[in-house]
Amino acid sequence: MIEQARTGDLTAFAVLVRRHQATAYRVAFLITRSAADADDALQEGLIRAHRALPRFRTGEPFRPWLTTIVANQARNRARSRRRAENLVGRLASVADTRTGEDPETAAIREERRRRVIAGVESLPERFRRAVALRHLLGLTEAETAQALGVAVGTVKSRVARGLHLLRESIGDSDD
Amino acid sequence: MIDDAALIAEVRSVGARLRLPDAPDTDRLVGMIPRVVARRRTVRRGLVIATVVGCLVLVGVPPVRRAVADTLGLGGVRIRLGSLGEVRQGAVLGDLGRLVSVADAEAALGARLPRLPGAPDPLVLLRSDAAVPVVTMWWLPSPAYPASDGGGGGLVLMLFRGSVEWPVIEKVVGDDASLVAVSVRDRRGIWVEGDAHAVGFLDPDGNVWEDTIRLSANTLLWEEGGITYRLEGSGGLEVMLGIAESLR
Repeated sequence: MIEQARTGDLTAFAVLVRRHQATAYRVAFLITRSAADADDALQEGLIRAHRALPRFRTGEPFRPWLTTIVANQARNRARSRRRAENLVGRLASVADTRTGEDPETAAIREERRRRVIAGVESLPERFRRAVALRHLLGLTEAETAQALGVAVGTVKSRVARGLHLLRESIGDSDD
Repeated sequence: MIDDAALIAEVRSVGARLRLPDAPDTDRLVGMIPRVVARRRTVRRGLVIATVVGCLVLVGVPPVRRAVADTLGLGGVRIRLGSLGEVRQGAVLGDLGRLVSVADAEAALGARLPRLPGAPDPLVLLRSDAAVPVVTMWWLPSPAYPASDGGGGGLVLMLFRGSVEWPVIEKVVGDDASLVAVSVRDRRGIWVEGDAHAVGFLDPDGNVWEDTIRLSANTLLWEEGGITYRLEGSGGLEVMLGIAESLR
């Protein structure tokens, strides 16, 4: 499919993108914290990815390559003046029905989740992005490094520092 | 105190409950690529033609000159889309000037040259035969600032007093380069990225003096204190913005 796309076959490129775009888009959203900016970053990223296809190395995984291109665009747009969306509003309130959780326990757990996400949101930008991509989204250290355009060691230290600050902001109670 | 493993598990659990927005229809976006690319070429050429006409025909009308400059956002820079061959055909070959001391360059520019902490001293060149003096600070290639594609410069910073009377620098951008409005040091700037593009100076007589030492790599442009800055290097936007922010 990649070889087909490299010959200029837009349909093949569309199939590739459809398979691998979800992570790229979520990375863009977590970087920009704006669905509109993430949409722009994705569109611009796809244009650049299509242009860069001749340079894509056969055998390399497509998803991290596409994600890196889209993430670059997201970082550019994150400098725009659009207001950043607060992720607290995107927390799905779901009671844990498997354990038959009672409403009071569910409410306490929900409040804890809100504090955690608010704590991540309040981190300085470089730590917030590292923690969000690494642990909210679950990217590997290497994928997080590629998306942020930094070394893996930088990701490790930013995540560590981010978790330290997060722990302080949410308090050390374990309720 | 909650340990790292437990905190990470908690953050991941929260991540699993985030309802992130769905991506737009990528089939539609991919289908639009050829039209978007074609339209950008047309829009850029239209902006360029309008700008060139505006500058040539309407010189001498202060409010209009200011409007043209404001459209581009920078007083002393005009961005023109064209091919490298187009520049070379009409170009009068030139260079970046003569090597001078920092003091001489500052006197000519009428402003203090910035310092880049942690970097070795740059070469400082002064060009006095353009519309305004142009100072170039050139940090030779090093591990911190490797050479850009197609040329020998590690990191180059060009400074001149921006003028709305005459476009002093005309930057020729190829079809595969892109322009993005960015914030640089809390000021409005332009980021030019992509395939190598030539840099030329436009003097009041309309001659293009082409930079023959190198083709431009990624470039960051901004105005500060009446001076236009042009920072060129091999790094991406984040790297170049970091360098710009660290200038003292």
